[in-house]
Amino acid sequence: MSLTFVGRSIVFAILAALAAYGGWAWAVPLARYLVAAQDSTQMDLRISGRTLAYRLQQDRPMTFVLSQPADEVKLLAHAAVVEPSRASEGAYYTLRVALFDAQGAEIAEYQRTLLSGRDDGYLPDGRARRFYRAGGQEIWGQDQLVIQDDQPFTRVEVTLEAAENMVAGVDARLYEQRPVSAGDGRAVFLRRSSEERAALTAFSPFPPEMLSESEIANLAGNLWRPVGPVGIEGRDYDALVIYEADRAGEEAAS
Amino acid sequence: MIRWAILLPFGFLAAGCSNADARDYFAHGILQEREATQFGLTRSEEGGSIVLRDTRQCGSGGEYRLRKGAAVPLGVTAPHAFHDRGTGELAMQIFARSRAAVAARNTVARDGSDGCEALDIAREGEHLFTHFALGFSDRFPGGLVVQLHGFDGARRSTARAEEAAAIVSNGTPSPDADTLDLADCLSHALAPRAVLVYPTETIELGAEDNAQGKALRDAGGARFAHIELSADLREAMLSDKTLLETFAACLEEAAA
Repeated sequence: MSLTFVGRSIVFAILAALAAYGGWAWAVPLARYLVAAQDSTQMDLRISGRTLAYRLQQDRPMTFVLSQPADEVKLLAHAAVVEPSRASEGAYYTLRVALFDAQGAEIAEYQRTLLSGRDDGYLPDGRARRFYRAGGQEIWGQDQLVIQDDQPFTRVEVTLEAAENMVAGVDARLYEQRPVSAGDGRAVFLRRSSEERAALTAFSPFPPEMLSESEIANLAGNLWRPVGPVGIEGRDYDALVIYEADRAGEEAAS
Repeated sequence: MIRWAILLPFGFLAAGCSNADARDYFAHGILQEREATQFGLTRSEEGGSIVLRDTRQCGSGGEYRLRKGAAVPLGVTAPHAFHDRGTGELAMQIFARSRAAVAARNTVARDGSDGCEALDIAREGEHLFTHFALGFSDRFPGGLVVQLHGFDGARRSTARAEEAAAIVSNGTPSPDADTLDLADCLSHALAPRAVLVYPTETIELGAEDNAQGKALRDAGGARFAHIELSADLREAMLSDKTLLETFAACLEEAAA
């Protein structure tokens, strides 16, 4: 055994020890960095909200049961698109909505074809306004259906009847009106964020501070809350978390 | 008196023990059958777990559980078990029903409502609760320490927070991918209840001053998740075991 060989062995041993220590010390932070980097294309956007939406099925309806009989619900839906053609300005899809009373009898059925606008789905810099954190599906413009009936109903069934080929799925959210007692109207209204108050009073030429007590009470009665579908996730329905970019981020991007 | 109550569990300092000793004990010594009397804790075993508890009258050292054998690198803790009603019980039930490695809760009320001196251990960087978190981090550098808290919706300043079922934070103003993953999982598990992320969806209850969160960040090891739970959700999880197990599964997934 030559001295050179021993020297080399010592050098290799030191290098191996340093590599082992580096791996022990930096493996976890490095792995975290790499995982975070995978999300970087989306996460550099300022997120203003996350919402759970439910992927509609074509072969069976999605069932929503209301907390109390209602004569009005609100349905928000959008198309999730893959590989759209350049010429597409939007994606068409058709929904069927059926209303049932407390005894289970169908009292009305509607079929509506909607257009999920492409431009509504993007920020001015080309990034998605609403997005899933994983996967390649683009979320296009959101449609709103306000469904009313003279008869009170307690159950709503929503089915995707048809959609264009590029539509990978249609996600929906159903909202019922939040019950607000007459005396709570003002407090409920004032506890909303300034953005929510502005949206609720958008119809009025006057600022919220100039509204009367009765007007504020009426506005408070116009608050909505989400209703989840009946069943077990994965078996009866699939849920997806939708992220929404912050408006300030949108302005900065433009 | 307050100072005396705080110092009671730290008799180990006078006995020649240091913060490093406590941290090392929770990282390694606890598994080596070593006693914990030097830290003011009584050691016992219960259903395959080691239980350490400050059993003294008004002893504020806390209660700690450690699973023997294979476990998920998850710590489920409740620093305000009395004040945030149900959170201590939830932490222990999640520990019992999951494969979480450790669990902990406080043993005196933060506001003194149990007749003992008030002590908020979520603000005590030198408390055993913090050394416990750091010891966990030494043992599981890639693990996750979850802190469960409870909030009263009526006392929130915004309707969004008032109506939330849970608010998730990593204790900083910048939610990372892990925090969003956990929040997404909880959104699925608790649907249609609202799960918010601090500070992107609400500016309340972000725990930026949390002592254990700060200590873990400084140590650079295990991650920290602060979850505020509404009273309705706490009640629902205590009575609905399926909901509790779904919630626990999200914590395990986040820790793995």
